Order: sequence, then C-alpha cells, then structure tokens
Amino acid sequence: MRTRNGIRMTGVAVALLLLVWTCGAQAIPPDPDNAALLYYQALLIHHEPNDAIASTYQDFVAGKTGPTDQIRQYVASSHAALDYATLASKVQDCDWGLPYSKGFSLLLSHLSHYRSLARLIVADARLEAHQGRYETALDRCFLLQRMADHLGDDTLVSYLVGLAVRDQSYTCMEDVIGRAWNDATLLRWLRSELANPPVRAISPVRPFQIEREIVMDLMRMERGRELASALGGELEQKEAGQIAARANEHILGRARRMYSQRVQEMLDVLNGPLSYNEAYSRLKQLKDGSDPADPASVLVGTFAPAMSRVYGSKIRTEAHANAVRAGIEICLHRSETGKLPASLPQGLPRDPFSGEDFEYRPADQGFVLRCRAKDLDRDLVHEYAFTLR
Amino acid sequence: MNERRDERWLDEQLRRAINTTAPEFDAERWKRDHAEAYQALVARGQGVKGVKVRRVQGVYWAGSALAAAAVILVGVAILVTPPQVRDEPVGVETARAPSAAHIVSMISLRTAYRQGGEDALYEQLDAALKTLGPRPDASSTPLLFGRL
Repeated sequence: MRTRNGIRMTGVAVALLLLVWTCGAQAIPPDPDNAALLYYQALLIHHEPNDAIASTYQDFVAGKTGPTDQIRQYVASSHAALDYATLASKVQDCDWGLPYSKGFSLLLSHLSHYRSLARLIVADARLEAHQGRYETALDRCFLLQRMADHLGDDTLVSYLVGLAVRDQSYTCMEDVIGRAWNDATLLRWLRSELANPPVRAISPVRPFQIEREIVMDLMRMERGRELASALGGELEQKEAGQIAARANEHILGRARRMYSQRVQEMLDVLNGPLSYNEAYSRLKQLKDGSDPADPASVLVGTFAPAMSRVYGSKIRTEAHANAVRAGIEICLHRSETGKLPASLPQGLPRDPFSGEDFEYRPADQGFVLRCRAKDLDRDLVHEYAFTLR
Repeated sequence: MNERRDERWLDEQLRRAINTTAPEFDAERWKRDHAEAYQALVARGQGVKGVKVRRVQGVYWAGSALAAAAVILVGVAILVTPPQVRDEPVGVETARAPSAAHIVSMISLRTAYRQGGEDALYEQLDAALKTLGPRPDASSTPLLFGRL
C-alpha cells in the first residue's frame, strides 16, 4: 500500500514539474527561425547618415580617412540596427520571401538597404579597430560574411551584392591585420576562423538556374506583353520592336531550346576544371555568340546572363580572400621572427587568376601581394597592400 | 540618379501615354509601329485559351446553359440600368503612373549590370536608396518610444 502511494506521489510530482517546465517554456515565444525576418527589422530601423557627413562617412567606410566625432555619433545612434543584424546573422536559415512568379518584375528593394546596413557594420568595425579593439572589429567582419552568405543565391543580383559585402569584409580585415600584426594569438584565431567553411556556401549556379526558369517561362506566346516589356528593358526600341514583330510559336520554341542549352553550357564551364583565362574566354564567347539575322538567336543573346562578368566577380572575391589568408601567414612570420620574410613562404593560398602563388613584395610600411595574371573583366592586375602600423 | 536606358525608354513611353487623349499601356509605341505582327503574337496566345474553353464547354453543356441564362439576366439588368457618364474611351487602359520602384526591379538591375558591370549596379542600388526613402531619422526613434 505504501509503495503504491509512493508511486502515486512521484507521478504527481513529475506531472507538476512537467507542468511548471512547460509553462515556463511557453512564457516567451522563440525568436524567428528565419534570419530574413530579423534583417528586415534591422533595415526598418536603419537610416543613412545625413547629407552633411555623407561624403566623409563614405571615405571612412572605404578606409580613406579616419573617424570623426560625427561618424562616431552616427554609428552609435545606429546600434539598434546593428544589434538586430547580429541577431539575424546567428540564425541558420534565411528566406527573403521573394515572389518569383513576378518574373523580371520582381523587386529587390531590400538590397539597397542591405548595402547601406553593410556599410554601417564596416564603419563600426573600423571604429573598433581605431580604438584598439581588434577582436571586436574582426567579429564585425565575420558578421559581414554571414550577412553575405544569408543574402545568398536567390537571384543573380543578390549573389553579386553578397560578393561585394564579402569583399568589404576582406578589405576591413586587411586594415585590422595591419594594426594587429604583432598579436600572434589574434592572428592564429583569425586564421582558424577563416579556415572554417561558411555556414551556407553560395554559388552562382542556383541564381542562374532560377533565371533560366524565369526566361523560359517568359519566352512563350501567351506572355507576349511581359516579353515585350522585358525586351524593351534590354534592347533599343527599334530592335525590340523588330524582334517582337517577328516572334511566333516556332521562333520562341527554338529560342527556349537554344537558351536552355546555352545556359547549361555556361554552367558546365562554371563547374568545370578550366583555368580562369580559359573559363572566362569560353563564357564570353557563349554570351556573345548570337546571329543577328536569326530572331531566336537574338532573343537568346538578349537574355543570356553575363556569366563571364559574374565569374570575374567570383574569382575577384576569391583572390581577395586568399590574399588575406596569405597576409596573415606573413604577419605571423613577422610576429614570430621580428622581420618580414625575404620571399613568400611555401604553401600559402594562391592567386586564382593565375593559379600560381601571389607575387610578394616588401614595402616601406608593410608588404604587397600581387596577382600574377590580369582580371580580364576589369583589364587590370589586382594587388593587396598590407600596411603594418 | 543614374538613369538607365530602359528607364528612360519606359519613362518616355509613359509620358507620351499620359499626354495623349487616348492613353495607352506603357511600352506600346513600338507595338503600334509593328501593330499587325504584335497583335498576331498576342492574339495567338489568347487563341490557345479559347480552344480550351470551347472544349470544356462541349463536355459540360449543362453548365453552359446555366451560364447562358446568367448572361441573359445580366444583359437585361444592364439594359434596365441608366447609362453612366465615362471620362475615358471604352476599351482603353488607363496609363499607370511611373513606379519609382522600377529602379530596383530585377530586369532594371540586371540591365544595369549587363551594361555597366558592378559599378553601374551598385550605383543604381544606392540611387534607389535615395529614391525609395525616406528612412526614419535616428533621433526620432527614442522620442517615439518616449511618447509611447
């Protein structure tokens, strides 16, 4: 009897405990599991600096000038946006809720504000670095990278803006590394953080696939009006009129097949083992190869993505990332031996434009890493200067 | 604002449409220039839908009879109702005001990138920030909370 009472009492106690625990868990609803919802809130409370400091602020973000009191004040007044962005960056999933059914009319207004928010975070990182808080500054750089990953690969424009944000993070890291070159512990931590794979790897493949579906859907007779508008956006009035005038089911059907095949060829190049020079030239050739006498071919050429250009942007960001990682190793050498290496140490990340090691050159106040091949899209050779302060 | 070619073109079309007594949908001027071919293009698309409707009607004849009765009733109602004065010609679409948001449409941003690369794309996105504002002033946010 006593045992049965004991079991009953234990059951009641467990039930009460469960009740208290459940009530406690339900008291505060959980934060959103979609990062975009938090980013949207950050964008709502974020504001641009006023016109009086806009130019100074822009130069400061670009690393051309030092901070001013007005910039400090502006950044301090924007901490709520920064706080929400930080919170958002910690959420794994991010769905921007884009209505793809809108096709090319899809609005990407969040990207303007996102760029502005990214500038604010760069400004904050630079302010932290100026005050000697290097770890916090680098935290901001990683926040930018997570934001870039979250912006992701929904559309081609999102992907490009994401690359630009990531590139800004590397520029900012260069500055911090130059200031913290003597802090070996921090540099080792940075090295290990950069070696981690991104939470969400983004690539241009998905945006191209989505864009292909949008264009394939557009090139149909029953979408004549939308097709006309899209052509009007891409071509001169006369040319657009001529193509629309000649369009029929046969031509559009052929254009769809040709377009799908062309994009697939581009994606194969993008995923293939070709060198930068080979891949860029092939992608450019695929983009430019239209027959002006064939309306289907002109349609394909009109809507074919500027893949060589996008590929160039991707390689440019990779080059910057590799230069930063190589720069950390050189700074660690300096920190450990007291002097810069005479030549580039072996086994460092390479210049993706040439596939070779960066060209290394000690300079007055630091060193320079230079690519060994030209960025064909911009017609220049990139170099990355690390100023050790 | 960095005005791109397609925007100038659209704006031009809209301006023309607004200034005429018979306004038309934007991007129609060149369709007028090539009216026959373009109408054929649109009409053929609509024709495909027409075939489907007739096929469905053939199967569901009872539904068609009900629909016909409804049409007759609506027709009678229209005849009985006094005619209303219209400000614009029948069958002509009203011109839409140019949308400032077009600057951030996928086609517009895509065209900017195709024509001017990253610089043109980012310039347009930054121009959109000014166009699509205003953004809330930071100093007003604490005040707002204070008043609440």
